[in-house]
Amino acid sequence: MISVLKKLVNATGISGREAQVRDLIKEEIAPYVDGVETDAMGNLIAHKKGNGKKLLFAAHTDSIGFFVTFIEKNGAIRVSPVGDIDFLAFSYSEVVSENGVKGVIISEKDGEIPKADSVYIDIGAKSEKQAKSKVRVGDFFVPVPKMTKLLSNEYAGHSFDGKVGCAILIEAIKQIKETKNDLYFVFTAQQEVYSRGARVAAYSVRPDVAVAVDTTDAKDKSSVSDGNAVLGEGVSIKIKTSRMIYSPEVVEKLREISTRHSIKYQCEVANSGTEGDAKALQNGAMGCLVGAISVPCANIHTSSEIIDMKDAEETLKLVLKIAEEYEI
Amino acid sequence: MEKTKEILKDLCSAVSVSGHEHASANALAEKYGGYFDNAYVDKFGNCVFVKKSELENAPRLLVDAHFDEVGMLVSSIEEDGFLHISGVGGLDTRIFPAAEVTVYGKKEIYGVIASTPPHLQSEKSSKATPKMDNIIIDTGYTKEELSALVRVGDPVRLKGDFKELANGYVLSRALDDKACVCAALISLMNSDKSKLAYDIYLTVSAQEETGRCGASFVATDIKPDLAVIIDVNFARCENVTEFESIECGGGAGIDISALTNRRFTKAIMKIAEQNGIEYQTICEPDSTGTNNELVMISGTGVRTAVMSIPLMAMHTTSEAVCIKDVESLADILRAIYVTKGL
Repeated sequence: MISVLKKLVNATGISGREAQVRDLIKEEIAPYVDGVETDAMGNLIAHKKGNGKKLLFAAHTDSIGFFVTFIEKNGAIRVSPVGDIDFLAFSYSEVVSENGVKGVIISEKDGEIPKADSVYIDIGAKSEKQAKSKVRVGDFFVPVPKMTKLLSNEYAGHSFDGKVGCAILIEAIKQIKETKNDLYFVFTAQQEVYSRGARVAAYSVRPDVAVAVDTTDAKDKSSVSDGNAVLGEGVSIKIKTSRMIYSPEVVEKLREISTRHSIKYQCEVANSGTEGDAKALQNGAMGCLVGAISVPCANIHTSSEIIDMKDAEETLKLVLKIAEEYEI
Repeated sequence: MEKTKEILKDLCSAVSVSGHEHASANALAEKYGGYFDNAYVDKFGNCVFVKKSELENAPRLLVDAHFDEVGMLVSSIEEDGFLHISGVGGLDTRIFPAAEVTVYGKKEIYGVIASTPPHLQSEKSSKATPKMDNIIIDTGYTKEELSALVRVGDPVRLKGDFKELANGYVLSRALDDKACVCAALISLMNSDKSKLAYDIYLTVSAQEETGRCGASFVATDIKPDLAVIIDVNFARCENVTEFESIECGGGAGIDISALTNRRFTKAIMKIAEQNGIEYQTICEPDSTGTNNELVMISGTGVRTAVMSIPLMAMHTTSEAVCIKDVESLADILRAIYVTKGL
């Protein structure tokens, strides 16, 4: 799974511009599925036929990033955030544009918390003209892709949020030979901007049960973050996040399956936390049962997100068992 | 009035913390199903009672009241038998310190929310509204004992049993929205099918307090021609303006909002007047704060109206309503059921 994840991390794409990631996934899974297509939103929908219930697994292909809005006389690049961006976390990060132009995010106002209108990207251009020869308004920038191994099984990198889920589903697709259930694997577009992709994908598939596979906020060692999950403690099964109650029936089955197969898991009941694609999947399907399983991720939405690959392995095990055993 | 109180008391005793309505919804369908043509619970925990008109191709009227109540879920089990919790729906945490709670684990477990005695509070801490993250429940168990009985995700309720007050008032937790569930049940339980102008679907819906998805999906499924959403509204009291509240004892409220159908709403007012039923109006221009917002845009769109019962101390354990208002709402609903061409 690590080699797939590395490839995914190196493919860049912000919400609405997921083509590079999508193409990579398509290439990886095409030999292993009965059908795969891209819809109007840019969702990649793969199908493994079965006669049982329709199960949909979703992971998102997009990551947060920056759109170029304006190029200053001095060659500074102004940007607007795509997705939930904390400019403090990204200040002085190295970034790269969709065309490979490198730069650094600079905060203009010393000592203040940087905001969208007080940062710019320095690409080293001496003039507006030079900058415009490399960057156009509407181009996107993302943090320079990286994946660094830390101690234990931990890795640091950008865009694990989304791509870990994709890596897990790719791996699951490769490992499932035959299936009783009718399986749909959806690699969704635009999750970071209100899960617009998941909504229409669920509308076209109309699953009986949908399970979103993603990352979730993990506590870091400083206990500054209000994360809900713990790194290294296994796959996190969401029960309740700030605005969402996950279908109790699904939660119960996920717990039961995990227990029976000794899959290491933790449960998430939290005042904070977002529902990712789960709510959109449920609404898009005009009402289906929905669950969410996640790989705990510290420093989420920064250029150095941290995950424990063991948790990803446990999540993969759970996905495989759900696909195999889930009955409604 | 006594019958109404009896049903309302019964409804309030059901455990229906938002998202965990299924068991109580099944019991409800079982208990009252006999008064209807059909009763079922769907996969989201919505309980649906159906009573059909004898007319051919009668239009479908959906009446929605939500069954879920605000409450808490266990979020973690700590050392020494303490529990951390997460709120479901917007409970008023000002009432939390030292409150008694019940945890619905493998068995019912009683506990108390930890609090600091007034003698030891600073001026600042005594005025602060408790934050959900800082609230802990003391159960008296050890962690090992508690872990065998309680799981993360189990529902928790504050104590707030049903009581009768003077002059036809009653007090309980979860009168939001069980007062309206009661009104809907009594309006339809004993109705004469030969007089019904509509096939009536009474949805006692799940998860209003947490995203309103229950009513949204059940309405998508039923595809009604018309819908009346009934929910509680703010009762007039000190520090609440006339514009944002209705009077307890003044009859059911009829909501006027950009989000409801004007013609249908006006017709309901006329029906109430013709039948001599007391009602009040309340204007909620851009949001009614009810299931209406999602029912109206379910399927290809639904003409809706919103009616309400004035409720005191919303989202606390001491919610109170006047039974007269519950019955006034039921009376208006009965009159709607027999009026053709709405």
